[in-house]
Amino acid sequence: MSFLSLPFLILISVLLILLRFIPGGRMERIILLIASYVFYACFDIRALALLFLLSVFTWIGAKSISGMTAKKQTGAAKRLLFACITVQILVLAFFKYAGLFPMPVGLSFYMLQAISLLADTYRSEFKEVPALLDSLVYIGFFPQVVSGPIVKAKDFIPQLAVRKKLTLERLSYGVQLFALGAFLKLVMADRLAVCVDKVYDAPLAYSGLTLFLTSVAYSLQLLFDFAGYSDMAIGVAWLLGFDLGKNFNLPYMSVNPSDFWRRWHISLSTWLRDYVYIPLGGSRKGNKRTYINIFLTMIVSGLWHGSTINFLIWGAVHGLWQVIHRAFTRLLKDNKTEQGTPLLRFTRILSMILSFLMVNFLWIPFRAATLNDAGIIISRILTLKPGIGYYYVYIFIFGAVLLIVQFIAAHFNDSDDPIKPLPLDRMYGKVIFCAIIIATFMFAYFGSGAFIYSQF
Amino acid sequence: MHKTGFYIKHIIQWGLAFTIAFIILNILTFSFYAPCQELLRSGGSTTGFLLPNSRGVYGLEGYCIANIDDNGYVNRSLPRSDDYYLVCGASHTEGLFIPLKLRYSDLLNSMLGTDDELHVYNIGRSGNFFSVVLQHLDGILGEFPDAGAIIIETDTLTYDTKALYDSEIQTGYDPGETARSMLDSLSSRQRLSVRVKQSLPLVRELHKQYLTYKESKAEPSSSDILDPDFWEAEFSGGYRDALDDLMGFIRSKTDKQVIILYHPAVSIEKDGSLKLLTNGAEPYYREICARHDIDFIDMSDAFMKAYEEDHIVPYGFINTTPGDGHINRAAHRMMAEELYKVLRK
Repeated sequence: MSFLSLPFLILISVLLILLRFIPGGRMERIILLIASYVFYACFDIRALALLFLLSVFTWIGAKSISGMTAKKQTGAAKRLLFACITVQILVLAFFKYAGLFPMPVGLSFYMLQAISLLADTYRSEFKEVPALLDSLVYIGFFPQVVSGPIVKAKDFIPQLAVRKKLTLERLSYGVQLFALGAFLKLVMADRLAVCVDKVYDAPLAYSGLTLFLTSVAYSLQLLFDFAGYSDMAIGVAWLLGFDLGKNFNLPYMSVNPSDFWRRWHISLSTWLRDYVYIPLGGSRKGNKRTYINIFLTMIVSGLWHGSTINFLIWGAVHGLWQVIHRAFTRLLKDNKTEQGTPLLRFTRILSMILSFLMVNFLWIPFRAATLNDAGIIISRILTLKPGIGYYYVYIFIFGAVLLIVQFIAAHFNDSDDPIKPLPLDRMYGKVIFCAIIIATFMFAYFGSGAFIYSQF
Repeated sequence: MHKTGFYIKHIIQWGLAFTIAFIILNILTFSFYAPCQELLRSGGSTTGFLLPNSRGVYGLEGYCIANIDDNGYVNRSLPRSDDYYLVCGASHTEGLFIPLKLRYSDLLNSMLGTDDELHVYNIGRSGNFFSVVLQHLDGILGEFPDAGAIIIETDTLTYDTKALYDSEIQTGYDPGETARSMLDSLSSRQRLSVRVKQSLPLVRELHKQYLTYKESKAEPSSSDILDPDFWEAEFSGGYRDALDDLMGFIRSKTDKQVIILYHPAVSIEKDGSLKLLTNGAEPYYREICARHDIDFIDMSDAFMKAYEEDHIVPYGFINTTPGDGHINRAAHRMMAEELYKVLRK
């Protein structure tokens, strides 16, 4: 069941009506769990069994860990935590790398949430271990079970006890987020996919310039696709009374790698920071160790994304880039130039362009079918090889749209909250909203379908 | 009471907002998709024609502002010369994807003489594939008796034995079904309906989107139209006789020069090469057409040469993908040049 389908519309409508009329508490959570499992079962009913078993396993683990920490058996709790996490990783590795069975939908995402529940329990983030029902709802919560955003247990589970009721303001914001996400996915991402799929399918046929433009197209496609999905998920959760946080914040405005990871797939970046980087020692154990920790964290990120060598290289180079950037900035003396002077503005724009080019370059192995294909694409770009000149017009249109949005966001809005909701109580807000809905149907590209991140 | 008023006010506001948004987007749609209304018929030179003396905008694949002439075909508003060539075919020939002057028929027109009259008259109509054109041969000869030659464009030769025989079944010619007479006989209600449809391109765009959506959800066809086993069996059966019969049939209908202009579909291969998507019927067409004094132009070599020398792909536009869809301006130019060579002989 896709977010963009009639069955989903029916599911969410029924759910909202039910949640409106039933009293809160246990019944509310049971309904949320049923809805989540119905949603998930529509993808693959067999995979639902795995989701359920893994959730129960996690809860038992968390309960045991909680019991041990309560009895001050820290060593045993730590060993159990590691054992439980190892089991989770083995399950993920079995499906992701062994290739014997098809990968269950969303396993990579809900496994991270399960680990979060275990780790947060170990860190005593909860007054008492969450109830089984709460844990099941948290791990299987349908708006984000397939492709995130990855919410930490300590952020989500407390919301179950104080779920916010649907108000007109909440409805307005949630629906707008959903509509924006649908527009990004159907109109922008799927239309760019047409060009990207075609060119990446036969890179030897195309000119270096075309391949470069297509790599830009993929950078845009990935952003619109994943940000679109995230917006829809966050919007649906918002309607249901939950705040999943933010997953993207104009990532292509980043000025360096650290900035990029603060803006791109924020929920994964913060998860990796909290549950990999910091437990490894973070920046507390000296420079050398910090660099190693950064590098290892990015390797984990690469491995999480996929089982091929491409992802490993992608993660490793991202890690290396971060390490070099961190080391380089440490070497530099404080720049005395005041913010706002032309020099700083110029260097900022230059940093943005260079960062984008680097991120864009690294998306090539991320997208290419094989390492060989990635090599072909990069070498053809660098040597400006002749070939078919294909300049897909939507790269320029959507690229310009993104630039304008970024410019407006940077100059007129709060940088932490750049996309403001429309005032639906005003006539112009209603007109723009209706125009977005009609435009989505007008310009939607039907044919690409699946969300890119659902394959991870 | 207060609550009811609140709801009514909001419903009216939303209705108004939707209407304003719809009007704005409808106006915007005129800039990229405002197709001309098609009128269908059974006894003419084509299965239908576009609303005569109208204009249409087609920007979903390539971009074209089309001018529809008196007969309901896409042509420049120029007088037809006394000695003209008639170009028949489907959407490739109609050419609603590139500027009017760059279609192969218009380029050929410029090559053949002065550009102030039509030496080449284009009656291409979407959906009028090779076999459909042949079924309208009586209509073509009846409606355009003074044409000096007939050029039939096709992008495929995948017509099996039965389809070749079926191509001889004529739809007939009815002088009452010309564009002018059909337009005159439209009732005021039909006229209003046409006018409304022409003024609401957004509705047509949304309807097109709906059809595309439905198509995307349908199970893809498993049959391979180029299946080599199927065509091998065809060629070793009665295929040659059927083709011979069809070409003889064409020749029996007219002694004018007839040219079949064939441009195969292509695909871009993983290794970077261009592959022609054919069923291997070209030699049969070449041989049998020659036997009946029909010219057969095969664009295969020209397409391959253009790709190998200049990386030119004959199909696709900057708003679609290379190798897919309709022929682009490069292919139109190549086709015009090939046609010119044959006509000059």
